[in-house]
Amino acid sequence: MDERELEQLMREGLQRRAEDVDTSVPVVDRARAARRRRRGGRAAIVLAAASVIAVAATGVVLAGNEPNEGSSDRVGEPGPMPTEWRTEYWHDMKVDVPADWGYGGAPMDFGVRDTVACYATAMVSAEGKRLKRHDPSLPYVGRPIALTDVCQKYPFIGPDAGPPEAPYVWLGAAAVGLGTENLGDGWEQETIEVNGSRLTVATDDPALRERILASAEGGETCMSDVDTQAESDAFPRYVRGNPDDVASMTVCAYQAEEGEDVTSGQTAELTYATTVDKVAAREYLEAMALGEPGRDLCPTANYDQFEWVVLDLNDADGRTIRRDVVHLACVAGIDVHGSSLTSSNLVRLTPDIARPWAVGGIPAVVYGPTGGKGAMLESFIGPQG
Amino acid sequence: MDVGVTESRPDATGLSFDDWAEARVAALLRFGYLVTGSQHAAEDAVQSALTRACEKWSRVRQADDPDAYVRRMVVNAHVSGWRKSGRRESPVAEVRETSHADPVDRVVEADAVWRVCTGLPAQQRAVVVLRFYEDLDYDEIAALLGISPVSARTYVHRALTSLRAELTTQEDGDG
Repeated sequence: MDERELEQLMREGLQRRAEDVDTSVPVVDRARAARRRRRGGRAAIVLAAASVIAVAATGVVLAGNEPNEGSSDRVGEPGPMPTEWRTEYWHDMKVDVPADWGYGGAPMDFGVRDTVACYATAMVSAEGKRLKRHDPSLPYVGRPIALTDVCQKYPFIGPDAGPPEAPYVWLGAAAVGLGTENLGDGWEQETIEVNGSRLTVATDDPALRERILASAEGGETCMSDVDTQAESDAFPRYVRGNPDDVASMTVCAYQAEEGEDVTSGQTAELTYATTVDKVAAREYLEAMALGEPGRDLCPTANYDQFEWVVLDLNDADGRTIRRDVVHLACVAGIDVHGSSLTSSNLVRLTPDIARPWAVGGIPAVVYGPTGGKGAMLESFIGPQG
Repeated sequence: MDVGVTESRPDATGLSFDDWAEARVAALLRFGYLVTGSQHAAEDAVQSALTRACEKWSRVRQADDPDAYVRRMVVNAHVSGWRKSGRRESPVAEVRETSHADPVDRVVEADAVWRVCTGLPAQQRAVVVLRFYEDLDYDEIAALLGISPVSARTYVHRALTSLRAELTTQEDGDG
């Protein structure tokens, strides 16, 4: 059978299969209904903007240790306010959370009909260690990213529907409605919109909830999104410096979202950011100095790259002196002085190179290389499904 | 019978979203089915694409090719769902009964085509559908999916090679 006959066979086979499709389903009606729901959501966002201002004002009162009249009718005994905090980032939003909270999942859309969380509990410690057992008693920060292929339907049903065992913050859980929800036993879940992203906080401590909500604002450490198609200048320019002057390293993780506009291409959105100290930055540079050229770990597979980590090495004044782009796909490696997400001149990613920056939330946010022998599973979520 | 999304498409410039969508939904569902491999996933992907198209209709209808715009959304809605879940593999298509009484060998060949297609990664399968169901050329496919024409041609070549191997295996098994 020659090529033309094969092509004809392919045409006829697809045609035959397409004829079996049920085209009577009311998809257009469903799309119209979905659009009406989205419009309703946008109207609510305007109200949420007002609530952000109100929350910010409340935060000022709390800072002065004045009683919060607005929370006087709330149930729940306020515990001591945490003394150490860290900042979490999602798209163009940042928010402060207690430093010892772990990482987990948050509700996310799966197809049009389903919203699931995979899994809404702490699965990674604050330091970035994968917990051997999920710990429902550990407070956590959840993102709409699957850390496991075991998922729970949202809104929660059955045993999951009761009050949570620990406080949580969900970043970017778009499926969660704006406003306050009573979870029972004094627990309340409050959701606001900040710079286009949902922020959900659930606690039985109103003061803690308001402290977290009041801290939310636009992010500034990393670019909130990066054009995945740009071949150069995808990031702000910088003056290259001496690596010996490195004093810290900013870690920015991105995940691609499909563009809706034909002309705009794809955009990768910020999913996590942190900064590691001088020691970690130097360990990274030392491991890179021993690096080897990158290679395709799964040459027979077809794949699309959808996540990257951008590493900014900074001097003592906070100026970027080098920017490396970590590619996480079958060709896993680091583009030294990378200027975009499309480059391909890579140093092979090894556990020693990943370890200094794959800390904190990285093992809960980044899937990591697709191929290889799984040598870096501890540093990343790893393949799912 | 509407064949492919590209055939008999109305000029969207002066149409309301409702008129355009009602005229195109059957073809989009067929396209969605071939791309996703299941009725359920096709409905989800087309509904998602139409919701976005409805929201942006004033802009969509001004596009050079609104159909291409929405087809890309259908493909993206499918690929995005799997990306978000972190899955790296293509879903296995549901097995469908066919009610056609064509000669057995044609049915067998059509089944071989479908087995090959459902075994392809999502984007690769989209290329095959666009090439052989929508009859787009490689430049059009590349522009629609945001890949290079060379990649599109390579995907098609791989799919045809797989189909040849599938048919050969089948013949060997029969013999």
